[in-house]
Amino acid sequence: MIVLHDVSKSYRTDNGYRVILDNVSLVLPTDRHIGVLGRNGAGKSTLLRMISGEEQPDSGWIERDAKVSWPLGFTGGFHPALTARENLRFISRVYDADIDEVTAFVNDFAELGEYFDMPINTFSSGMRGRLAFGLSLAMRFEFYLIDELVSVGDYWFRAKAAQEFDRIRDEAGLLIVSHSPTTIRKFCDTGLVLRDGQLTLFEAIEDAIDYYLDEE
Amino acid sequence: MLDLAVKGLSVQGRVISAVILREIRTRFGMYHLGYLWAVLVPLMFVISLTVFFAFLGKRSAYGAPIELLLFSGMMAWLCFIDTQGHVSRAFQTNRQLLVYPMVTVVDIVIARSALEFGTKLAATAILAIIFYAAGIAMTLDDPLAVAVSMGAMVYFGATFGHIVGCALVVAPSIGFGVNAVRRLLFFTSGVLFALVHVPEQWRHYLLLNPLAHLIDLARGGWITGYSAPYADIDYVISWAIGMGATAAIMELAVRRRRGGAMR
Repeated sequence: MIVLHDVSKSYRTDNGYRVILDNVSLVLPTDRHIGVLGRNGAGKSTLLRMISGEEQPDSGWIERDAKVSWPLGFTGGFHPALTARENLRFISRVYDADIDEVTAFVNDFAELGEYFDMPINTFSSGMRGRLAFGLSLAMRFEFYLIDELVSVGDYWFRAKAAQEFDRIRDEAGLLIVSHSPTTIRKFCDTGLVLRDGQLTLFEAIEDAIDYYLDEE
Repeated sequence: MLDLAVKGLSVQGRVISAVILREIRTRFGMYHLGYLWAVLVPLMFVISLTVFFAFLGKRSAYGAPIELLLFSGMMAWLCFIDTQGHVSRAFQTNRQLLVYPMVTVVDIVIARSALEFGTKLAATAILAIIFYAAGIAMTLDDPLAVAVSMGAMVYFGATFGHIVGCALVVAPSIGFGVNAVRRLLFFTSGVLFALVHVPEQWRHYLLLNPLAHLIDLARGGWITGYSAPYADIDYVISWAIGMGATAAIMELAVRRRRGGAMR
C-alpha cells in the first residue's frame, strides 16, 4: 500500500505557481494495475517521482510498505564513466540484492555483449534503456512505476520484453502514467485521474477514462 | 521503534559503503596518476616551501625540522580543504544517486568525508616514511592527537562543504566569496608558520580561526617536546556544534528546491 497523507506540491514558474497536488490524501493499492491519466503538464511525472521517493512533497508525507521501483524508462541513475557491470554492482549493493544474480540476469536480458564492460557514456540511448529495463526487472520490485510506456523505446515490444512485462503484470503491481486512454485501457484495471491538483481513484478503468475525457 | 532504528542504520551503512566503493572507482580509478596525487601534492608543497624557508635562513621550528612543521600543517589543512571541495561538488556530481530513495544527501556527505579521511591518513603514513627515509628527523609523539586533529579537520571540511553546497543552490554566484573565505582560512590557519613566532597581539586574531587550533594540535602530536599550547579544544567544539547546526538548517531550507530524498 502507498498512502499519501495531506500531500501538496507546486512549482514556481515564470507565470507564478503551478499546483500539482493540493492537499491530497489517498490510499493506492500496490496489488493493482493503476493507470494515471492527466493532461500534459498536469504533473503526472512529478507524481511518479514523489511516489518513488525521488522527489519530496512540499508538505505532507508519503508512506510506502512495498518495494517500489524507480520510474521505468528513467536512465539517469547510472554513472556515465562506470561500466554497466560496475553500475549494476553499485545499485545491487544499495538495494541489498545479490550482485551475481542481478549481473547474470541483466547480462542475459539486455544483450549488450562486449558493451557490458564498457562505460555507460559509450552507450546509445536504446542500450541504456535496455540496461535500465533489465535492471528494474532483476530487482524484483513489488510495485513498478512506468512513465509513458512508449517513451521507453521499442525494446518493450520485442518478444522477450513483452514476455517479461507480462510476468511483471502477473507478479507485481503497476502504476502507468500516460495521456493515452488506449494504453491505459490495455494494461490497467484501476484508474487514477490527476486534474486541478486533485487525484481521483476509480475502481473501474472505464469510469476513469470517462471522467478524464469528460474534461476535454 | 528500536527495530526500525537498527534497520535504518543498517540501510545507511550499506548505502554509505556502496557510495564509498563507487567513489573510489570514479575519483581515483580513471586518472592516470590516481592515488599518486594524494601523495604528490603535499610532497611538492613541503619541498618547495622548505627551499623557500632555507633562503630565509629558517631550518627549524619548535625544535623540529621545518619539513615536519610544514608537513604536519599541510596534511591537516588538506583534510579540511579537499573534503570541503568534494562535499560541495557532490551536490552536482552525485545528484543522480538521489533517484534511489534510500540514498540521502547525508549518506553522500558521510561517504565522501570518510573516503577523504582514509585517503589522507594513508598519504600521511606514506609521506612520513618517505621523509624518514630521506634522513629528516621525524618524530611522532602522539598518533591519536594527529588522527583526532585530522578527523576534526575533515568534519569542518564536510560541514563547510555542505553549507556551501546548499548555498550554491540558492545563489550560484557565491563561488567567488567561497574562494575568498578558503584563502583567508588558509593564511590564518598557521600552515605556513609557527604560532609561537607570531606577535601576541596578532596571534589573538589568528586563533579566532578554529582550524588554527587544530593544526596546532596536529603539530603537538607530531613534534616531541611541543605540547600544542594554542589548541583550545572547548573553542573548537563550540565551532563544531555551530557548523553542524548551520549545515542541518541549510539542508532543511534548500532540500525542496534541490529535490532528492532526505531523511
